[in-house]
Amino acid sequence: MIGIKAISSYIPKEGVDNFKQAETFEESASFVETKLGARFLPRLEQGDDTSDIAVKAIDALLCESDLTKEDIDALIVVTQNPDGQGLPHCAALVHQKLALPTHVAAFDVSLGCSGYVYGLSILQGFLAASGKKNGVLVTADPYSKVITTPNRTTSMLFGDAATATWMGENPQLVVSDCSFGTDGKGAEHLKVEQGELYMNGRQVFNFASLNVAPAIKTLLEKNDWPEESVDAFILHQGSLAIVDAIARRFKGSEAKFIKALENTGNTVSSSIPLILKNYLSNDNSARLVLSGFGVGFSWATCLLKRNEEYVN
Amino acid sequence: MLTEADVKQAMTDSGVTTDVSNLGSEQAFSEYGLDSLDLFNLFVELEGKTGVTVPDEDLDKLTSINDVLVYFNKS
Repeated sequence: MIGIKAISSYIPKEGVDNFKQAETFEESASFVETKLGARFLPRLEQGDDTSDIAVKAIDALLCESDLTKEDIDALIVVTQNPDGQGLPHCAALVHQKLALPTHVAAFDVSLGCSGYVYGLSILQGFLAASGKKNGVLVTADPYSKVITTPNRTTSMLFGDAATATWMGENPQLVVSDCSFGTDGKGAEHLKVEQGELYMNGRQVFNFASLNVAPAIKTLLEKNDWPEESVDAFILHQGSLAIVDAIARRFKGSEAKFIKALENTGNTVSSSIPLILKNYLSNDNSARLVLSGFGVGFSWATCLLKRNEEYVN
Repeated sequence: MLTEADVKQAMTDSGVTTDVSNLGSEQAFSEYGLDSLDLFNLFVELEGKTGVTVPDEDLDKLTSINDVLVYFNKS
């Protein structure tokens, strides 16, 4: 059985005070606290690129778990903001910087906020199909690289971070089922043009507000998981407002929707694993729902079960 | 036919936390403290209830309850 064994992360210490930044856009402190949800937005340290924060997240994983470099069979980096122009692929650069063995299969996955849930499924399938035992799923998508001029729609939302998830045998959490979706008509609403991020905030909000809850409910019904049986709904932390808008569609279960972007902001594909790491080792939650959604438009939902046979 | 009460109920249903009971029908939403995300939520709610879609280019014209009523009731 392959599943999630451990998660580590890297969050830069330096960053932006979002209250001060909001003043420059004539937005209130209340707007920052109750709608955006992010007081602080971490930013890449000077000189760091995407592969560097990926390396820092993997270094943390190697330090905090039993995984060794020799154990790693596969490495996936989820990013749409790789070093340079993306050629070579970021996973190869990470492989080089960590001096990983040459037997490692390393490749990138180009997805945004749905990327972690997609990545779990891809890595699980890759390991199973190839008979390999240990894979590392990295999320590293620093949007500060494409928000270089002040923009009221994007500057106050996004923070930089990276995570590394170890998938292998004897896991703590197992992917029980998953579902995916794409609506390419939404591609125009969130994109990079001439090196700068453009976002139609209303269209992105509408998409998430209308599509994510039905996707979750359909997957729950298919698996006979009543809403009340779920211990926590861990959604992509697009903003506090969007998590609230989705949670409102689950009457009676709103309190189970985790909100945790105060010190990070929207970290794209890293937002879900940054929360999920708190549900490993010291937690007994049996059922978790993950859902990521964003650029594309793309969305992915999965159900996680605790492995009762896990041996620590 | 959408009414003022319907719009205020839609505000509450869509998670607007500001007490809108004293919001005048001609008063600008922004003057009353409603922000852009309150309005995103409101229009998702109203579009769902009425089947009327508000294109992005029309959004800036809808600054009060009266504007909303005229727009939705003629559509």
